[in-house]
Amino acid sequence: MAEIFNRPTPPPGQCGRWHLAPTPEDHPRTIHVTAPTRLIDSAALDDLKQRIMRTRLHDSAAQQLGTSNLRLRALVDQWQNAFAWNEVEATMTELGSATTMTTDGRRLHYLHRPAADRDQARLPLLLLHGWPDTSLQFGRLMPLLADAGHPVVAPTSPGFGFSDEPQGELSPQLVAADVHRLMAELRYARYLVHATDWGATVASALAGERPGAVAALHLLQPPFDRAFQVDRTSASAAEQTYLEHMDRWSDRAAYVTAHMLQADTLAAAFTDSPVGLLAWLADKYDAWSGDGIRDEDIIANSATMWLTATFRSSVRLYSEPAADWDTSGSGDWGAARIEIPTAFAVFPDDIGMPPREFAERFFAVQRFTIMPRGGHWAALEEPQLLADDLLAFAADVS
Amino acid sequence: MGDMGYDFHGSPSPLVGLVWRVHAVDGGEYTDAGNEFWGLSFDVDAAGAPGAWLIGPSPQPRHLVIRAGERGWGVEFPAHVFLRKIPKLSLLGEMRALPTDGRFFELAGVRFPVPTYEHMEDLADALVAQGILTFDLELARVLAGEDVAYSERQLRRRTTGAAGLGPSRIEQLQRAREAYRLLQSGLTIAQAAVAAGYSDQAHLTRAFRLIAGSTPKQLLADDLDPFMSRP
Repeated sequence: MAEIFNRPTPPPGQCGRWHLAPTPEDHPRTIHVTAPTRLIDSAALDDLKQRIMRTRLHDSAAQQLGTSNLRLRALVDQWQNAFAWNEVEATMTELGSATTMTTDGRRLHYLHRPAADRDQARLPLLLLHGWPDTSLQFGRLMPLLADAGHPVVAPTSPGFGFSDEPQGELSPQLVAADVHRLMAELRYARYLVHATDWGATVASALAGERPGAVAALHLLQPPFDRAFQVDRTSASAAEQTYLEHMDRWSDRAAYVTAHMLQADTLAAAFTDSPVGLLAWLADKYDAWSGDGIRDEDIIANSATMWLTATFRSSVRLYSEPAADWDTSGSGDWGAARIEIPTAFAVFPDDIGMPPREFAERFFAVQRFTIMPRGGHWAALEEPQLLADDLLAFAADVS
Repeated sequence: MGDMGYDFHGSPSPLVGLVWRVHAVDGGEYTDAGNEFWGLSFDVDAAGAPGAWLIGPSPQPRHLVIRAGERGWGVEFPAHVFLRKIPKLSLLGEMRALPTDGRFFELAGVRFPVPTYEHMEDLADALVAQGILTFDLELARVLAGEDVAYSERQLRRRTTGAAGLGPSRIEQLQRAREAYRLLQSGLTIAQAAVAAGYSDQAHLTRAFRLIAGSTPKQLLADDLDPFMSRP
């Protein structure tokens, strides 16, 4: 039988009905806890419902900037009338929702689809999301990968959704250590990492620190800070075009600056107002995606972030000291080149289209694919395109 | 090429010469006049097998065979547009097979989605973003007949480097197309020869043999002439 450990105190508004999962017989020291059948209690859901019902929007004649009232009303209407939180929980359960504990006693939530036959299993796949998502981002992708015979693990990054934040600094290295330990617990010694957004930063940290465990990387973008770590005098014409695009993007990405410098101010509004949070997130979903993103995805994610009250903790990767990017030097600095075989799947509606030669500065690129459609949320928008590319690369490296 | 279901359209993109497609119900043959252009083409045969090709410029006429049931489509780039990593000199007269699975094809280490006839410009843009496709605007002006302050040697080197063909060869190809246009507009062979800048009808006939594989007379009688595949 499994040993019992100290359960974490569930965050306020959540019920704490934890269940012990059967422990693998050949690995008795591993402790796994399945996710509670209900993650959010009905009082919290009622409160959310009331707040959405009492939504107050501005009626200013000002020019529209950011999420429009028109767009927001449509989303709010759907949230109010066509969205059921218990379906989100049911989806997570279906995908093997579970939690484990970190060494410092934090709850780490993950989705896990083991292989039907462990001995016949293909290379395990670790999927890492970014901001403002959770492992739910991979809800459509995971079954496609698992059906091809790969064990699939999608952790929710610490500070997001049902994964607790650390008391100390939240760095990409900490997230990397958490997910590596999770893979070890699940007895996946060597695995391929697919990642996007902040997940790509974590994946790079993980590959740097655990080159023996990370068989390969499959990324949607180079980590964003890399665009500001290049000696521009050495950039090719195509790289210049890309870097100038990233400069223009960054000049207008007010949210990054706000996350870095005014996270608490924002958190006061977004922890209180679900529709305020929805507007903040919908902005990004709309701007960086193609036609494939669904309003229900935006709502499910906003609901997860609001119900778990995790806006502030979710932006810690922007706001912690480690994210204080220094771009004042010259020459290539900062990130070392990662020599692990790496594939890029670049989606045209994502924030930028890096040229292969730019990615090669930082990664040992073995495969570089421009996709016909889809954006920043490729796993939600174009799961089949993404799965095909990831599976083909996994077959190449194993 | 009407009975082979061939059509083409121009493009708002200055990088793209023309976008074309062909559907051969019964199969057929076509001789394409020599030209300084180059391109990418995609096809699916009757059995569904895909192909992707890098087509180099060719000063000589090319004999093309299209099998029954085959569909093809592609993009033709002007001479001042070129591949950064693949010199056109190495592609002269060549159709080089590129790896493809019908959904993606690979060029210079990057897998691109196989484009549709309707969205060929997306491919051109992606090729530029990847630094694979590049262009020389000064050369475009030279090829359009404008004066640029180059020495003859500079001009030859720059043109051959980007276009794969020297300036006088490109001028011959351009002149032949101009003569063809004049013939189509109703001029006699002798009139067209002089108007296009040939010293006489014999020179025009000789140029057409070399570039199109047929004489002006044969060409005017043909349903499918070697200059028809582009404007």
